[in-house]
Amino acid sequence: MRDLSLHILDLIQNSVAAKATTIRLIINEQNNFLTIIIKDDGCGMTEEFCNRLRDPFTTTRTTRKVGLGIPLMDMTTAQAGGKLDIESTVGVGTTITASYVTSNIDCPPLGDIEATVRIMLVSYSDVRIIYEHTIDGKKFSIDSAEIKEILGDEVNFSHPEILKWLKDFINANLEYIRR
Amino acid sequence: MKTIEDLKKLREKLQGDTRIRKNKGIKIIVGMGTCGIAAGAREVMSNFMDELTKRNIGDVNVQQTGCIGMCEREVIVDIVKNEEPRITYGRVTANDVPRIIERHILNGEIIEDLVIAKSDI
Repeated sequence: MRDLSLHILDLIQNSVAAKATTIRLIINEQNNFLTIIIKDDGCGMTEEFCNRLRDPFTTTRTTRKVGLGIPLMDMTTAQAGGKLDIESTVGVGTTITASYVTSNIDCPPLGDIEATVRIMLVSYSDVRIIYEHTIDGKKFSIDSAEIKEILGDEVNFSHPEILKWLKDFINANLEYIRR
Repeated sequence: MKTIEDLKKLREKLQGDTRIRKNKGIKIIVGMGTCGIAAGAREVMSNFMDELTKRNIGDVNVQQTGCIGMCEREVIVDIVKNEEPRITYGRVTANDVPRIIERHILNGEIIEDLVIAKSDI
């Protein structure tokens, strides 16, 4: 994985597989620190399973025997002087918090977060996605439930003009909070 | 087209667009497991979206799926058209996207050099 927004896209898949109905992605950049929080209301994990999660040979999938999502994220946080916290309760959900020191030379770039968020919104259209990104106190948020309410039942996220709006909207707001 | 207000206007305009009423059911499904993402699935998916926008194709749904166990053949893309066999393309790169749209989605021609599976559903 070349950048952190690819890790995010990867970990969101775990939340979807856990049958989450709402996934919150919260990114906070302040001074030299970057925090990424992925919070879902999926099925959650037992403490015993959580403890084994950083081991690549732990996975729930049946198509292959290794699960690299969490171990890779764990590795990038450790290399960049940060850490990965996993909190989970069966029947309630899971919260993953990854923190990084961005001045660390081994900290991967955040990368194309716009593409990651747009893909989440469009391809997980059955799940409510809430994205909040704050840079030095300036905040941008988008909630798929709000967009869905505006669009109604007839227009879907895959419509070419909606795809274009999403890209422009996310980019314009990212540009604003990065300014 | 950058604000929530713009989206509301867009919605009013699109209500008259007949293509959005139950589309023909063409689906583009991109494999987005760890393996797919590591192989470039995000760029492939993002290119599909951009290409649909550019060509103003309104009757296609873009979806994702997890790992299907053929990690070495990622990025894997399924094209599902109504009543036609599901076509699975393997080792798809972002550069393959325009020809998949043009030849398969628009002209119904299967791109043989990318196919790894065909299945009836």
